[in-house]
Parts: sequence; structure tokens; C-alpha cells
Amino acid sequence: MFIRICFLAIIISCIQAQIELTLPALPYAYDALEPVLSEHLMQLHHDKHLQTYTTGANKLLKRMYDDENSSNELKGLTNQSIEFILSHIQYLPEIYQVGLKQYGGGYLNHKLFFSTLQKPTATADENKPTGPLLKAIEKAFDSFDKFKQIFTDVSLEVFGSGWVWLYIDAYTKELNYSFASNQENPIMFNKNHITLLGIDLWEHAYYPVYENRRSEYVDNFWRIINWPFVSQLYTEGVAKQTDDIDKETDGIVKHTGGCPMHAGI
Amino acid sequence: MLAAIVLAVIAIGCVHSQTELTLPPLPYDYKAYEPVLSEKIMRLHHDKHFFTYMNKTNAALKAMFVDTKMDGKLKEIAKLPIEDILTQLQVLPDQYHLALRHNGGGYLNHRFFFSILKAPTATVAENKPTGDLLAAIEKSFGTFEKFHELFSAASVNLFGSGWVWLYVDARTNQLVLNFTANQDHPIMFDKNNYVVMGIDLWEHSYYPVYENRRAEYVDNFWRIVDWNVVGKIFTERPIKRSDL
Repeated sequence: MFIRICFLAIIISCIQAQIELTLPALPYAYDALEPVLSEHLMQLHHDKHLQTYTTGANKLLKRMYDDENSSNELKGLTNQSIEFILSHIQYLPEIYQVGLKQYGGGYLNHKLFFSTLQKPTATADENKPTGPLLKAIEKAFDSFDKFKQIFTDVSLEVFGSGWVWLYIDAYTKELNYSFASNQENPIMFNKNHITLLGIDLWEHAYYPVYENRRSEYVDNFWRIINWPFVSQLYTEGVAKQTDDIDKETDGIVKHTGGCPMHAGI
Repeated sequence: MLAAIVLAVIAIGCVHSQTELTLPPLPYDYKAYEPVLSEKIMRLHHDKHFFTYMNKTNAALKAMFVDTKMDGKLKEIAKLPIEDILTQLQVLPDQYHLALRHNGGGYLNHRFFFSILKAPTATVAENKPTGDLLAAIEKSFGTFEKFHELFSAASVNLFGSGWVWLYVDARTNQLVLNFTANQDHPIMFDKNNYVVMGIDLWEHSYYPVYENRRAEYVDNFWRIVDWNVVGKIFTERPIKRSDL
């Protein structure tokens, strides 16, 4: 049965061209995050920056698919989800790796970022996670306040454009944080890292409201985190981290080689 | 007596302080670059960003000056001009290396950048270099238009924060184009690289006026480049013995 499903996946991959990313709608109105993030900033960030990443990533994926030098395996890869492509970025030729880390990463990071935000609480202190996610934070960082301090400090230290991420570490299965430059994401370093939350520290993410005052932006960021949604990502992430899933996805990568529908294209 | 006191003060000043950077004022009024760069952006860029780089560099140099590691070598380095310090980053311990690369670079880059800007010409086409600089650009790039096109393309395509530079390459002695990430400066890669012109591509340099439209900023940048100043910088480049 499982083998039949795999073959079906292969056949479907053979017929389809590369994936085409679409601009995900904001899960709230543009002004929903006022006054922490203004309507104008959200319009720019979503309609301009995320749109640019979407268009750029699509161009690259199409080029990779159309490239006569691309192996069938590579063409097959372009049909997978962007998360899958980025978590297998090392399989790509160098010429596509750089661009996809930039634009594919930009797409994924912003899609995640916008989905983890919500209408601001009145104060930062009252906005906290609960349940298993809180327990996991306490296990990894001692307390939520310590985690908040570390995350804030690192966010202020990041130089240039980048992100600070909270993710489930592939090896320890515990929570960890990292900073990334430009549009890098933990999954680019290990396909089994599960990214839960990030703060965009590119100047475009805060300049229209905070100008050069990044610390004010970071302080207010704590008011707009959608902890229930991040908790959901955590629960799903913990469930996903099993060996069975690894075998399944590896199967798709191996079997798109020699796909007969692509002969002559 | 007074002379002795004055000499003593000078002597103490010479021996006992690290380099202390100051904030040079803009060569023109904050409004002078309108409408290409607004008064608001110039105030933020100069009084906030440039000022912060200066403060952080001074703090790092102050700490380095009293640091007894490396047999007093850190103290000696801290007394050098910032341009010289930035050519020796690789010998510095971790705690100073990045602080100076980031903030010292930021200071040097912004000091340079503000010095090469002026009030905008009405059009891009009318603002061009002349003389030796133009000849050198043509030698390296074919025509000024080709250089303009390449510099603009590099600027629009640079991903993240950084700069695009026109500089005399240390090894070939020719004008070249290159980019650096964050606040890196060409002298960090070879002390004999000689910067002639550059554009700040950090989002803070254009966002208040152009928002995400970096291409529009780059297009208009050509109206505010002060080619007289840049030409003079080029003319004053150190001439290698092999050129004589």
C-alpha cells in the first residue's frame, strides 16, 4: 500500500511542473497590529517585500525546472513544497542555492512570521505561552523571562539584516535559538529542525514605525506574538519529528530520478 | 612656565589617549539633498546611525587602550587612525575584532559617504566625472555609461545590507567595482585598496524616502554624487613607485 502511494506521488510529480508559490493573505487586517506595527508598514512588508520574494522564488524555481542541465532529480525537487526544497538546499547546484536561500527563504520566513502575529496585548508582560510550549521553554531556558531576555539581547546584537529564531532542535528535540543572516532559516542547516517563531530584524521590518530604534521594536514585539498559534506549531513539530517521516520524504527525492514523462522536455 | 605646562599637556595628550573619533558635520545643510534625500532621512542617517557607530567605536577603542593583553600591542593599535586600525582587524582578540569591524567600518563608511554627496542636479545625465577620473573609468569599464549600468545593477541586486564601491584595486592599480556586506570596507581586505566612490545600500539609507523601491534610490543617487570631490579623492591617490 505504501509503495503504491509512493508511485502515485512519483507519477503526479512527473506530470506537474515546478511549484508555483502564491502570496499568502495576512490572517488579519493590515491595521490589526496597530500601534505596534502600523497599517502602512504591514502593507509595505506584505504587499511589497513578501511579494518580491514570492516573484523572485518563482522565477528561480521555473529557471531550475526549465534548465536543460537540471537532472530529473532536480526537476522533481522543484515540485516539492518550499519547506522541503529549503530543507534539502544542499542538493541544489550552487548557482540555485544562493538565490533560493535568499528568495525562497524570504518567502518562507515571511509566511511564517505573519502567521505568528496577532493584535497587540496592552502590555508585553501579559502575553505569554502556556501548556507544553511553556514547559519546553522552561526546560530549555529555565524560565520564560530568561528566554525573553536572551531572545531580546540577541535581537539587539544582530548586525545587518537577519532574523532571530526559536526552533525545535533536530538532535536534542529541545527548544533552541539561533540568529541568521539575511533570509536564512534553521531548516537550511538541518532538515529536521522545526522553526516555531522568528523576529524579522531587517530594517524594513521596523523602520517606518521605529526608525533606528530597534530596541523599541523588539520590546513591543512581545505584545504581538500569537502564542496559541506558536504552541500549535510546537505540538505539530514534536509529533513530526519521527524517523518514519524521514524515510518517506527521502523516498520522493530518490525516485524522481529517471521519470519517463520528462524525457525529451 | 606656561610654555612648559602647555608642552607637558601636549606630551600627556600624545602618550595617554586612544584615538577618539568625532562626528564631522554634513558639508551642507540637512535639507540640501532634497528631494533625492529628505531632510528627515539626513537627520536620521547622520545624527542617529553615524553617531551610534562613532560612539560604539570609541567605546571599543577606550576598552582596548587599557587592555594589557598582547604585551601592550592593543594599546598601540588603539592610538592609530581608524583607517589603520581597520587594516589590522585580524590580529585583534574576538571581543574587539567584530566591534571594530562593524562600528569602525560603519564610522569610516559614513564619514566617506557624506563627504561625496551634494545638492542634486536636475537630471542624472548632466552629472558626470571629468578629466583623469573619467579616463580611468573609461579604461576600466569602456564608457561612463557602462560603469553607471554595472554600478546600478550591482546596487539593485545586492542582497541584505551592504555597500557597492568604486575603488583603485591594490594589486592591479585599476579602478574596480565590488560590493561588501554590512559595514565592511575594501581596506579591510587589502590596506592598499583605495576607495573613490560608494553607495550605502542598508535600508536605513533610503527607506524613509523610497520605502522598498531601492532601484529608484539608486537611479536618483547619480544626481547627488559630487564628482568634483570624488575626482579630487582619485587624484590624491597614492602613486606607486612602479607608476613613476
